[in-house]
Order: sequence, then C-alpha cells, then structure tokens
Amino acid sequence: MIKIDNITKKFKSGDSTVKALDNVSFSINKGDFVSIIGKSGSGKTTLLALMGALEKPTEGSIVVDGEDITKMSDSKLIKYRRDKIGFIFQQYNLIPNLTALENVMLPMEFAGVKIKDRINRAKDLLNKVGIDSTKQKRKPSRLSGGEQQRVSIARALGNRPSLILADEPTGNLDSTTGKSIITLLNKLSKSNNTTIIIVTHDINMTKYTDITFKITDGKLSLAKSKKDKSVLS
Amino acid sequence: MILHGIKNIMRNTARSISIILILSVSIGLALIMFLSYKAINEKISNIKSSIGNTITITPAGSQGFEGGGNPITETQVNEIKNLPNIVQVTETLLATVNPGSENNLKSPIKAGTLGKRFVRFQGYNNPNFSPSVPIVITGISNESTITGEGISLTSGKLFNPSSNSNVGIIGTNIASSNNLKAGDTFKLYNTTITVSGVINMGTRFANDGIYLPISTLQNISGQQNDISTATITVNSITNVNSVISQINSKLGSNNIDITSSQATVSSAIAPLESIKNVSLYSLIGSLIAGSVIILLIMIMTVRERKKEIGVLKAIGASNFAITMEFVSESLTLTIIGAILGIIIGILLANPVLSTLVNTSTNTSIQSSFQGTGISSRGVNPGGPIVPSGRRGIVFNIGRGASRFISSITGASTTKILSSFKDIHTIINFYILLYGVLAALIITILGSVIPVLLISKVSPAEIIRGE
Ligand SMILES: Nc1ncnc2c1ncn2[C@@H]1O[C@H](COP(=O)(O)OP(=O)(O)O)[C@@H](O)[C@H]1O
Ligand SMILES: [Mg+2]
Repeated sequence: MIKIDNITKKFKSGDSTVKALDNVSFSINKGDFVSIIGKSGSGKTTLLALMGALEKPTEGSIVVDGEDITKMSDSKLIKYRRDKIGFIFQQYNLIPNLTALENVMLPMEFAGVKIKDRINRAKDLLNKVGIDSTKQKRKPSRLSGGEQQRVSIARALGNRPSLILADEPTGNLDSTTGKSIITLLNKLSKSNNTTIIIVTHDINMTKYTDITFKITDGKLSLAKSKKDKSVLS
Repeated sequence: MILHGIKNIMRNTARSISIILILSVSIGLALIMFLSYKAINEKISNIKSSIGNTITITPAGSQGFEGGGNPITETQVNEIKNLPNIVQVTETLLATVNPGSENNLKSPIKAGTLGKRFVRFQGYNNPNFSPSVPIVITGISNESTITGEGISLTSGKLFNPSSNSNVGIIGTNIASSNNLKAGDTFKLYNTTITVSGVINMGTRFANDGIYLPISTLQNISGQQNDISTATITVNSITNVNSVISQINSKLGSNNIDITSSQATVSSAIAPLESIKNVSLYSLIGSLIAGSVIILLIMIMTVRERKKEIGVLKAIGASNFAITMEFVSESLTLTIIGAILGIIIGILLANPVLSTLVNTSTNTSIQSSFQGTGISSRGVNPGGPIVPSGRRGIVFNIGRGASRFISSITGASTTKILSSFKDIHTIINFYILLYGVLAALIITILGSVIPVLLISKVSPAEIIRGE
C-alpha cells in the first residue's frame, strides 16, 4: 500500500548541497508496524516529512493507496494529510490552550465532522489510549509526558488514517513509559489494521515492530523482518 | 476554528485588554471624525444650495452708502426679472435719516470718540459738538432679508414686503432707545409709520436699523424707482455664471457691479472646508492607526505561535482554516473595541464637532469682519462721500456699516457663520454599522501581512526543529 521508489532529497545550505536521503526505495503493506532506526542526522525525519507530504522529494515517487503524492495539488495534499496521515511527534505538540479532548477533536474539525460525533469519538479514543474523563478536561500542561503522548496518539487516530507516522515518539519519555507507548501503538496497529511507521534511535523499540529498517547517511537498508517479507524493491 | 480564535483571546488577557482599549479609542475617533465629516459636508452643501445660488447687483462703483454713481432702478430690475433660471429677485433700498422733527426718533448709537473725531475732521471744528448719529433704513421687497437663522422677531409680526403701507419693523436697539413696541407709531420723512414688529437681527448694528416695505421707503423718501441692491436667486448653482453674463449683457457691465455669492460663500465656508479635511484625515489616520496595531499584534502572535501553526498544518489544517483562527481572534478584539468605540463616538461626536467648528469659526468670524472692514475702506480711501440732497449728511459709521452692508449686499456672511453654531452629527442606528465597518476595515488591513506569514510557515521545518 505504500511504495517508495528511488527517492532522493537534497538540501541546499549555502554553497554545498546535503543529500538527506539517497536513492531510498521500499514498500510496506497495510497493517505493518514498521520501525526505522538511525542516528541523529541520518535522515529519519526527512523520510517521514516526505511520506506525510510536508515536503516534496527532489527525485522519486511516493505512492500511497495507488496515488503518487509527489504529484498532488496543494489542496489535495491538505486532504491527504488530514484524512490519510496521523502524525505523532517527539514533543507531543499539543495545542497548549485546548483541553486534551479539544486537541483530539481538532483534526476531525478540519475534516468537517459534526460536533457531537467529534466529542463522542474523541472521548472514545481517549478512553482507548488510557486517558480518563477527568484528565480529558485538562490542558496539556497539567498532564505528564506519557499522558500527553497518549493524547497525541488519540489525536492522530481521529480521522481513521491509513498511515501513522511517529517521529521518535518515546524520545522524551523514560523507558517504562516509552515501552507502554510502543505497546499501545502495536495494539492499535493490530486491532485497526493501521499501518504505523515509527522512527527511533533506540534499538530496544525495534523488538516490538514487524519490520525494521536502518538508515545511515540517507541510505536505507532492511535490518529485520519478522514476517520474512521481501520489502526492499 | 473561529471559536478557537475567539478563545485565543484569553491566552494573554492583559495584552487583549490593552489592544481592546487602544482599538476602542481609534475606532471611537474614526467614528467621531466620520460623523463630523458627514455633518460638515451636509452643512456645506446646505449652505451652498441655500445661499450659494444668489447674485447681488449693486450700482457700479458703490457699495452701500459708499462710492458714487447712480442707483440701479426698478426699470432695470424688471428687464432682468424674467430671464431664464431666475427664481426670485429681492430688492433692497438703503436710506439714512438724521433724528429730528421730520424723524422723531433717537439714534441708539452714541457717536463716541471715533464719531466725534470724524465730525471734527469733517470741518465741524467744535469740540463740544455732539453729533447725533443717523439711522439706517432698509426697504425690503422680500421677507428673506429679515428672516433666517440667527434672526428672530421678538414681538409683533412681519409686514407684507410687497405692500406700500406705512408699516415698519424696528431693530431691538431702536425699540428700546425710543420706547417703541408693536402698534406704536413714529415719524420718518414726516410720515407716520406704525411699528408692526420688533426684530433681533443678531448683530448690534443691524438692530440699530429700521426695515420698511421697499415701496413705502421709495415713496416717503422720494426715491421712486431707486434700488440699492438686487439679490437674485438662481435655480441652481450651475446656472449662476450664465445668469451673470445674461444680466451683464442686458444692463451693461459699466452700469452695475455683480457679485456672485459663491465667492462669499466659499470664503465663509472655508473654515468648514478645512475642518472637513481635518476630520477626513483624522478618520483615515485613526483607521490606519487601528490597522497598524492589529498588524503588529498579529505579526507578534503569528511569530509566537509559529510552531503551533506548523503542527496544525501537519495534522491537516488548511491555510484558510488557520487564517480564520487568527482573523477571528483579531476580529473579536476589534469588535469589542468597536462596541466601546461606538459608545465613545456617541458620547463625544457632538462635543468634539462643536469644539472643532467653534474654535475655527470664531477666528474666522473675526477675520471675515476685519476683512470686509478693510476692503471697504480700500474701495473708499478718501473717506465717506456726502451725497447731496435729501439723504442728508452721511456718517461713515465705520466698520459697523461695512459689516452691515456686506451682510446684506453679500450673501449674509453673518447668517452663514451663525448657522455653524447649530451643526450636529446625526447619531442613529447606522453608527453601529459604521462602527462594524471600521472594525472590518481595520481587521482586513491589519491581516494581510500576517496571513502571508501564516502561509509561509513550513510544517517540515517545525517538526525538524525539535
Ligand atoms: N532545511 C534543511 N536545510 C539543510 N539541511 C537540512 C535541512 N533539513 C535537514 N537537513 C539535513 O538533512 C539531514 C537529515 O536530517 P533529519 O532528517 O532531520 O535527520 P534525523 O531526523 O535523522 O535526525 C541532516 O544532515 C540535516 O542537517
Ligand atoms: Mg529527526
């Protein structure tokens, strides 16, 4: 369902150009739980930004559910980000003046879901990720890091995306909390058959995922595949 | 998103409150200036349409009692009366009488130091001579000369100006110095005149005068057919010039002087025009000031919330949705500001307008009187002309006479200026509309650049910035 074909991303910084991604190709199936491991600066965030259509690759194509997102118009890209992608960030990035519940409702609001349905679904999702109704009314500043990340996971699920992109979701959490977040994502990927790609520099996180890629200086290689699938094309 | 925008106001209450206060002042000022502008504009067009369409004909080379030449005649006026575009012709005849047995009235004016000095200069070289000052009599053919703003009948009634009966309206000063009231009689040119009313003309000099139907004055003073001034009302300001040239060709420009009231009106309304401009600039200025405030605040907020904007974009918000959030935030601030501004506007529009108008017209009333005083002396550098015959000795009553003469020969500068006093802004339901309009203008002008900034925020940069 996701087929990445020979993508290269170059950045110009001053006179020199940096190749953040160098001829990367892979494909993954619906429902796969994928991790990408690599050192800082290796190109992990760049890869997620391209898949989430926040940026365009210098070369290559990214086909999601049969459509090449590198050729989409701006207005289609907004819909793509809204309906197909759920983003989870290392810094949680919740909107500070909105309650947990309102944060989760936000992407559904962009999609034009009715207010009643929004509230119900947001409550459902928050209960599912383990945020009880008293904490749902709190603003992010009154929630712990792990709780904030759970809220942000619930927010990412709002519009039933087909692809969840998580950029170092456990990077700011202690190892126990980090583990619980990964287990939660794993559970979600299994129960909803949602494709999840997490990016991490923590080798421990890779043991929960079906497939692991390693990225070094913008070059991608397969590290492990539980399902023993041929994923590099 | 609109609701989020409104909620965002609470994120920094102190800042929001100060923005609202500043905006309310700027919107209030904009409203005051807008209402003043409208009121002044209306006044100007009223004045122009009510007075600006008159033409005054005087004998060539004379103004009032000053200057020489022959008076214009009823025959001449009849020649032009039926020219196209003329709505009305008002004739006046001026005469002066000396108090005495023929005219059993006391002049309300004391000669004073100036008068005595002048009489000595004239050759009556007797320091004890105390001259009595002549009384000015005006024959009128139309009520409009003694009606209008700033003029009021204090008792009695107006006479029929087209009659030739022996009735008169007397100025309040004549009435009090001679103990006359409506129904009493007095003598002019040995003719008994019945007081039909007492009038307050608004200026002291005009209150020293007597007003008779023009035919009556022509008869009793033996000036049949004579007219000092004819004031012609033209149906529209645009036709004034064509009427002037027609009159010139009928009567010959050597025999008469024609003054169009347009010049008088435009000099009289000059202060109004300048307040009008001031209020227009202030209106624009206060709208710009409000917009700049909103602009700076929005730029600040967009910068502050750059990360939030990037995140919103990454999770599927359109530029439009984010823009709406910011615009609704600033619009809410501006609307609250507008409500307070409307209150300020309603409370202060009239006081501010009348202060504006009064300060600038008071100086202009003075300067316009001084102006006429000087100019009629200029016309008549050799001093007063002493006409022969029945009109008797004519005093140069100084600046007062010029004032009076210019006020009836010109387009009643006094009338115009005193009408400034009752200028009012119209406060009605529309003020709400204007207030909201001001808020919208401010928000739209203030939002353009921030909206561009919003669209420039790159979500990829934001997520990499962690
Ligand atoms: N906007 C940019 N301009 C120049 N270089 C960039 C830009 N964004 C990323 N890079 C470079 O691309 C490489 C990959 O960055 P990134 O994908 O953020 O790495 P990671 O997320 O793995 O830490 C880095 O060398 C980084 O310096
Ligand atoms: Mg990164």
